[in-house]
Amino acid sequence: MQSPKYYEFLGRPKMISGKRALEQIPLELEGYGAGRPLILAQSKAGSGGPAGTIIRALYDSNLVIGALYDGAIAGSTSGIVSELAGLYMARKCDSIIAIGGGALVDVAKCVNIEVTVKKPPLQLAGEGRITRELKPMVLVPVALVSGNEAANRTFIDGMAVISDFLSPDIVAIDHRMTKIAESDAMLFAGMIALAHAVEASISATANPMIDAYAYASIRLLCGHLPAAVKKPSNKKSSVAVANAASFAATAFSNAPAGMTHYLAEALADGTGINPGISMGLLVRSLLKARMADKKGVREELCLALAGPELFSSRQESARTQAAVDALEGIFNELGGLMPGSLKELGVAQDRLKETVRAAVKASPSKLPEKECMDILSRAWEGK
Amino acid sequence: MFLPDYYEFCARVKTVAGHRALDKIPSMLSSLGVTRPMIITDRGVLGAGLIKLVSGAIKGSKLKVGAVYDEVPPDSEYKIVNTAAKLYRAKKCDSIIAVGGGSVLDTAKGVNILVSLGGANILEYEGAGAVKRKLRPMIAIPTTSGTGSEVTVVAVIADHQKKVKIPFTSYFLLPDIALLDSRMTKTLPPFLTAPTGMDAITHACEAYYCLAKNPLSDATALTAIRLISANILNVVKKPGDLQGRLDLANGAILAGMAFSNSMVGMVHNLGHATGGACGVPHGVCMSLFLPYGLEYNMHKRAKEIGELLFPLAGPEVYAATPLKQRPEKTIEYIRKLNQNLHDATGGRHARFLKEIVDREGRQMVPKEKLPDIARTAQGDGAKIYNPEEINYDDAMMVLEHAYEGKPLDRRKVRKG
Amino acid sequence: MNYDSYPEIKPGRKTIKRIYIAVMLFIVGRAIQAAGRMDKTVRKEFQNLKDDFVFALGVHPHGPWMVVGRDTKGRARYLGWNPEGKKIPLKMSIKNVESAILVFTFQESTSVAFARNRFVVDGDLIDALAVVRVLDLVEVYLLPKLIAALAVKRYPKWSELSPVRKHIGRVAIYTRALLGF
Ligand SMILES: [Fe+2]
Repeated sequence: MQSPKYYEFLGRPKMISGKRALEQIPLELEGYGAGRPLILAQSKAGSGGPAGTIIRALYDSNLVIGALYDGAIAGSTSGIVSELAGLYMARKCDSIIAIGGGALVDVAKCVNIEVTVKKPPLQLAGEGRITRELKPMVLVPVALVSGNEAANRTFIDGMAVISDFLSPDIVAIDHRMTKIAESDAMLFAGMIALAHAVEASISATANPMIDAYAYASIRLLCGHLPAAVKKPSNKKSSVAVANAASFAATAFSNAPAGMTHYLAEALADGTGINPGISMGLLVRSLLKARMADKKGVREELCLALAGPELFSSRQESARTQAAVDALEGIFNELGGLMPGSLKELGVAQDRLKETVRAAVKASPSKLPEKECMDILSRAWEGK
Repeated sequence: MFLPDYYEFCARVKTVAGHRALDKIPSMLSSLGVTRPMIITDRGVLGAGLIKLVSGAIKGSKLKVGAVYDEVPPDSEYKIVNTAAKLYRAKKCDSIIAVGGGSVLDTAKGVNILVSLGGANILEYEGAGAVKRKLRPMIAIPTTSGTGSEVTVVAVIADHQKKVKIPFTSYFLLPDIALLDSRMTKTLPPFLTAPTGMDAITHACEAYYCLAKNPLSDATALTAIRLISANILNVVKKPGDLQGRLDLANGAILAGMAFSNSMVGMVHNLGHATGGACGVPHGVCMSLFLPYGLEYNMHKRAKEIGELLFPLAGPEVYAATPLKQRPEKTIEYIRKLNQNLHDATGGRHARFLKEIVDREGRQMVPKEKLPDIARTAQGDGAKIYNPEEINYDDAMMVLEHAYEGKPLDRRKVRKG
Repeated sequence: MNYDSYPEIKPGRKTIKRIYIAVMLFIVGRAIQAAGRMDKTVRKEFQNLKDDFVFALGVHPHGPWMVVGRDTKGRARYLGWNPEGKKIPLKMSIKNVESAILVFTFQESTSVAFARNRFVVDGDLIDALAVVRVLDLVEVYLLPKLIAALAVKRYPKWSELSPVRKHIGRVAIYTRALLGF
């Protein structure tokens, strides 16, 4: 392995994971001089919801919950953001705890922008337009279904806001929260993490730090994703997947989004298929295509997928194959829980062309149209 | 991949690394909203012409260097911090660029506390949790590839009169940016490149077998070892190899991320003590204690130690070595690496305690000092994170082996 | 949105867990005092400490606490549960009640708890290490081997801690800890 001529990297969140992770939050916030968080918690009917758990976890601390919102959040829109920003201000909060994944976390970050910068977040859409620290923010993952939660971005009314300051300050992973994830949410989160980690590691900005984060993420997914999807209540596996998703988000924060990302988004817009699922299928096809193409796959990625034992037991020329086999292994273990192709999901073949067109249009850097088509077709057929 | 029941990991420093990374200083500082940095460094760095490189990179930009403080001694203390902070204020600086090794960085972190939070004496901020706010923007530019202090959350500041070292700990002490430029380490002579590189390998190895290991410390440690192991000997033989220098710098910062989160164990425990009692440079102690740290913990960490063979020696050697023999092979590999560095530096890279000499050629660790070292080690925090208990007798036993350079008689290790 | 539906919440207390920790701290504190008389190693550790040495071990932020000091003769002394108003050079606080439960139910040994960053040490680290050594020894005395072996890195060999010394020591320390002399 060799370092690139130049790179930049930032892994911003402090990771806290495991037994009694939630109970660490008050003292962590105290370190920032904060103690009145606004909590946004994923709603869950019946008992065992996140709201009760988090309140109990904050017992015996100096912290006071300014407000706890566990109402429905359908999407990240200016409307809900400004209402919650109002709640934050009315209660004189000084920090934010987001418990869940997807739109809820987007909303939490946008509220943070609004209460710190005092501007509607939509005005700051784009990259690098937030230039200062926001209020301390804690992310408590349930299932990180969008892949953006622990990364440096958020969405508002469909527009992306990207800034280093949007990565959470703290990611606190606790099985009391990860185990309430639904099985399909676990699958979406795992697949999107896998795709983000793989894509960061083969991107033009790949560097030793991305390699390290991608390695940790992919190794955990290989070991735990199938078990977590089969049984999200499995403590260890669900915590492992949340860890993997957080690491992948950091890798993703430091690399441009790649082909599978834009293809999956375009497909989601056109068909409503979860981008995690299609990204999983696409990334598998991408690796297989690269393998057939002789262009090969970076040694680092092969190592991450195959693991040191399998990797070193093969001849150099056979290591890409070992990596693809390992990836295939995850899909096989998932069995019927993971669809095998886009066709199976009911995507019409004549959709593919416009999907590629939309993806190329959406990407700020130029995507190779031919390769996109090739990979999308492979994913459609499940190759 | 190993996932412990509980862990914490934080490496919130933006890494900017490359052959011409210094050129990024102006844009990095202006994105942090500042224009008048103070440079903090020491005479050695200045004399090596490295500050010229830094100011060259700033020239022609909107930045203006407000002040240069170049009098940080190798063992800095609070008075230096207070003086430098005064200068910062007098010259109306708004940010800090620290160029140098551990002492410079610790001093700069102290200065930053004072100029950001107010006050004239850094000792007023003693105690856990005193720093709770974002400090002024700071760039750390290391001039050795080893210590990893550009990514650690502590600053240790001494009070020479009272003979105490006061640790200041806060996530806010992490610099905003760690900037690695291959030109900054290019002039480091081989006899210093070898031990500082071994210090970094030690950080990674200890992070990998100590009690706070976790997925991110493991991944950064493995990556670090691969980078350093593949380059250290080449760079010692060919100091001008810029790509090798950059790989070492990247390896060192990754190792820094690993150990500042997973902590270090026996090697650092004995190393800190040997440094304290006999004044031996840190890296020298690391090189020679590392094989002993591995041997001492073998009965509790055979699997992990065996796994280290992969990044150290590469996939071919790893695959060719049967599982059971990997831990031994790892230790053998480190000993061989020390021997090769010894040969490549014309014998200046010490392999055991007896052969460490100072500039005048005097032996630095006489045998009668060993009890002193063992006692000092009992008061060093690294022993907590070591998998096996280390009592005074244990430390003595290891020191006696390391004195002669004999492999550890593992029957003598008391197993808990 | 009606803000009143999302009121401020003041988290409560975990009374039973706190009582458990308080009892454990009381026993351990008394046991340190007793061990300081019975056990050579503990006595030596205290003699090596500074004259006015006092340490507090407890839970952030609302306690409970135990305070132990060294008297002028170098002996260990349990100084009660209240750190307030005392000059305390070394304060070791466990970050929260749940982490303290992990430590005092011996699910996490002292060193594992340190490695997991469960402690905040305010004061001299050299002294803190001496306290950790004392705590490890006291645990060996107080607990049955099965549990103590989990709580310390290396359970002392019989040769290092003769059975006679241990069992007599254990009974004596228990008695003294409970009766408080
Ligand atoms: Fe070191």
